[in-house]
Amino acid sequence: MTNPLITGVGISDFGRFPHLTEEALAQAAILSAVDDAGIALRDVQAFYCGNAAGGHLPGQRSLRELGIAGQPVFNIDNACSSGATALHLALQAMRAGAYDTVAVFGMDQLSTLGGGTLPLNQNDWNNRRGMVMPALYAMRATRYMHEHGVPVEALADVSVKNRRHGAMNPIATFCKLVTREEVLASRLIAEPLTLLQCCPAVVDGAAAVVLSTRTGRGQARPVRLLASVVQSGIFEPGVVDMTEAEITARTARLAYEQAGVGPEDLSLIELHDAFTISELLYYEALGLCERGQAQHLLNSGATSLGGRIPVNPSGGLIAKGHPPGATGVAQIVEICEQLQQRAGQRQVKDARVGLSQVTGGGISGVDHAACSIHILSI
Amino acid sequence: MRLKQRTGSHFQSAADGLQLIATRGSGEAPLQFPPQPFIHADQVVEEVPIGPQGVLYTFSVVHPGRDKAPYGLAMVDFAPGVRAFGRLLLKDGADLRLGASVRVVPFELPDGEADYAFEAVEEGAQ
Repeated sequence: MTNPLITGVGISDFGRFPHLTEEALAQAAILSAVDDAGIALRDVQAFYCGNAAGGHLPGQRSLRELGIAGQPVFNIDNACSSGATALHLALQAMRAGAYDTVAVFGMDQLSTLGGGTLPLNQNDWNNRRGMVMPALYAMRATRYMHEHGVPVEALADVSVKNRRHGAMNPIATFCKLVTREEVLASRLIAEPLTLLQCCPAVVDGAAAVVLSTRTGRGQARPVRLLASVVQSGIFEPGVVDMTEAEITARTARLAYEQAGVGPEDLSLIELHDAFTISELLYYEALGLCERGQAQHLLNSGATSLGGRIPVNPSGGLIAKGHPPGATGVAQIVEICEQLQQRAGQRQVKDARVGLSQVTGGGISGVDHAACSIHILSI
Repeated sequence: MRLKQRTGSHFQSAADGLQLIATRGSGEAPLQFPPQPFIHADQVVEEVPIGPQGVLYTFSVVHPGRDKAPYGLAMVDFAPGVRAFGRLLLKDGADLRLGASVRVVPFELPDGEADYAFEAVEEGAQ
């Protein structure tokens, strides 16, 4: 079996585009990825689409006008992990010998949903009683700050760092540089989280990658997938530690084992910083530092561009925004461009191995419903 | 299909206040709140009242926007080792330290359904 490689990547602008459609954004990303891979759309044997908010058949809606010839289209909804889960399933099919070349894409258009927090299932016990995603992370932040003596300024500094990175990312059209003071003075969303500590709620975007066992036609060197792991949340009704990102730690252990690398081998990470506290919790869950030490890792500059292990060089969700279907694929696009030394101003020097992590939540009783981790190498 | 829906309330009045009803399935199943909503086949489900007082594990105050009032949410731990989520009533001067005692109190959901919430226990009232 020839191992599939990522041979092309494409990404739309991330921003507010209510005059566009999610289908059009997906088309832009797909055409860009196919062009980057040096192939024609007819060479793609199957399409895997991650989408969380767009309703039925988002993949087919996106592809029909591109003139595909009836190839299979698979639609995957795993909340914010949809795009990364689509990649995982595409990889499985290819490794089973079903296809030589596939395209994976993800998109969502939140600007048409009317604003506010991501809509959650109102049949869920917690959601019916007022739970929203910022509140869940705010509660984790409150407990984390209490247990580890972390000041609110440490949370704000995550936002400052990621928006500094995002300002160098041309697709992050919504990103503005901010100061710690501006972050803390922005309006409260769920205490202690302020507006600028949350990823922008109304952002549209799409991303796509081409996977193929046939290489040599692309514009950049193909990227290897060392690990692809998807896990689900474990029902925990007891008095669990909410400062431990259990599903991420579990998925990371499996991914490191599959890839044969450890956190010390990584050149960069794209992780699910939907809220500032998330990034700190995930430093620890991914093994970058000991429990309670995330603020010190951040303060050391290790996770900034130019540091030992830059985290979210794209700007992450906080700077780019978080159209949930697109996010997992967009992380892969960023890591590929970094490994291929074509990330422009935000290039991580000598990038060799990158990790992406994205969760999917919104139901009660579990840390998160889903978590996907990929480890890529050049 | 051998499926039965639980029809009882998820809270009850006791001599010392309002209690929540947790459940424990047969075998190694942990105690859980909310109570298990459906019972499969011959499964035996035990009902275990918890409260009326618990310990505040964490909380947040949500600010939903200009035209809507802020509201509190909390995770509260109860002695048998179960955590419950619910609204946290925000009273001036209330002790909202993590680890403080809170009690279960009546509350009405926005759709009018009778429900529960948590509120801080005043000092000396424990």
